[in-house]
Amino acid sequence: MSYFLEGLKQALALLFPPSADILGIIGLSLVVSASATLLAGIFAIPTGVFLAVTEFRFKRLVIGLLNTAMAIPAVLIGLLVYILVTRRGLLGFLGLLFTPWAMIMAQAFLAFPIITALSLAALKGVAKETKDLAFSLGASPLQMSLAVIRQGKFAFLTAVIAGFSRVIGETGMTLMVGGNIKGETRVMTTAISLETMKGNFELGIALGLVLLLVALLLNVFLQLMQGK
Amino acid sequence: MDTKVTGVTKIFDRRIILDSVDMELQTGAVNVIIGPNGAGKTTLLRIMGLLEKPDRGVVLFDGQPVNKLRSRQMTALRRRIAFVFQHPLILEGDVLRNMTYGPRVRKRPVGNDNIAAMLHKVGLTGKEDQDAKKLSGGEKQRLQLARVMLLEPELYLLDEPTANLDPLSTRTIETLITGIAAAGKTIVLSTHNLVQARLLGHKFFFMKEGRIVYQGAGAEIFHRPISLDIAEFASAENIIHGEIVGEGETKFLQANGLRIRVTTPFGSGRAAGVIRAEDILISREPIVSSARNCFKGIITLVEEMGIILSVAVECQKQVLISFITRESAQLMDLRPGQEVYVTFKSTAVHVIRI
Repeated sequence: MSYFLEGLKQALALLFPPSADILGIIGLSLVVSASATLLAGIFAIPTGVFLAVTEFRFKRLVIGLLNTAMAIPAVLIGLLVYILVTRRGLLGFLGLLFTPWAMIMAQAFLAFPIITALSLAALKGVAKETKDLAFSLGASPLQMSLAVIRQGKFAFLTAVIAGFSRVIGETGMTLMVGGNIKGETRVMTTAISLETMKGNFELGIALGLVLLLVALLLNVFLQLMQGK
Repeated sequence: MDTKVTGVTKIFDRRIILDSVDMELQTGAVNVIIGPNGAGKTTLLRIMGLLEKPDRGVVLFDGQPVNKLRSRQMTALRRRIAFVFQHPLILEGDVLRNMTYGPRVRKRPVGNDNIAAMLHKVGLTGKEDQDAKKLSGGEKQRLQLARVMLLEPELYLLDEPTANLDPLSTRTIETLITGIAAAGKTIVLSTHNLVQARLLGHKFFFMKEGRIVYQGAGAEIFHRPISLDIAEFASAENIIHGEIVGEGETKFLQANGLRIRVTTPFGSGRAAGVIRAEDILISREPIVSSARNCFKGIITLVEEMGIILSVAVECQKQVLISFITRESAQLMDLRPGQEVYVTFKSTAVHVIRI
């Protein structure tokens, strides 16, 4: 127990003030995960809206697949992206392996089904009514979709934050495609994992605290938005 | 806009909601759809409002079938049609946003004066800045109507707009409907309220189990119902089940100990007689008149219905309902337990074959 307290003390010392190394790790984590979430959201939200407002033959099947995709082990996505960007892969010529780009790509794949499915689930209640309402007042299909998006904006925020939380905490997959290269692709989770293996608990604890803080802030933000 | 529905069929989860519906709306008039719950009224309106696609059949506007239209033309057509939902659908935000949404999607701004005037028309004067979701049920319904009237559509589809509303809102909406029809717009009104249907309607459609079983001027629903379903739904006060006996000019409906003289082309067999309550006279003494049916009975119930009283008289085992004015009830001093005579013409009995 004493070495945990000792670790905590040293961890706090590492954070106040933080070294450039630590700031770099935290910054990269946030940038990579935020970019991935943004990228996924750009595709996921319209997909969720589309699924919520249109009727087509295999809709149930598509939704089933989407829910299955939410449960795909991240490590499989890591494998998929690795195969895609490795030198012999389809995108090998871009040389993306072990760069933040590959990490963003993998995290976006991970976040996409989460954001889509959560948006869809949250829209289910309002989409049909908003669609009827907008169409009955003369909206075009595009204007109708915008009305649905407006009506469901908190739902999207929740979905996006859930997606972000999932990807910023992801370790194995990020390690596979990023490589945990110091100063280049080392993010909070991969750093924690490595430092813990090496017995350097203090850095692990410090970064763990930052991750917790990020989660806390996001939830406070969400509560404030919804409470409005 | 001439509106016609041909062969429209809709199936949900293997249940037939609409079964090859044909209807031709009377342009510039109030078309009333009546029928029990689950008859398919809402689905039919939704299909006419282009909010739903039929599985078979087509809606034609000015002779143009809608299934051939592209998305852009569909939007243009929708902009000529107004839909008022039974459970009001309200946009988030204030009343003003609800009023301006339609003009905004048409890129045809409407002045605040026009909006204020329209709100005044529906009794929502000065409520522009109120949270629309916090209005009462009646106010929301009036907002829905104001919202679409502002858009000057040619066809109004009103799905039970006064269901569960307070009397004031109901009266406001009925007045508005009359005004819209007077301005030459076509209205389709679905309703449960027969008084309202008779009051406002020009053409009537009776729906049952996904079919339109009658369309026409209304007499066949309210005065001489063509089937027992319609008579029951149109809440004919007296529906007497019995048997036709007799020949030629002297035929009787025998029911519950009564021999009621009737005029009908039907031969002997099971039948039902429908008598409007206003066609039955009540007197203290037997009346000698041209009316061929006069029975002795005992008053079982006297009920107030506004300016009219409903009096139930038990003759043998058959209860007959008569409507009389409050004034005559007072003059005759009618109350339960009293012995009275009921009188009606043989032609007042409308016979339905069952």
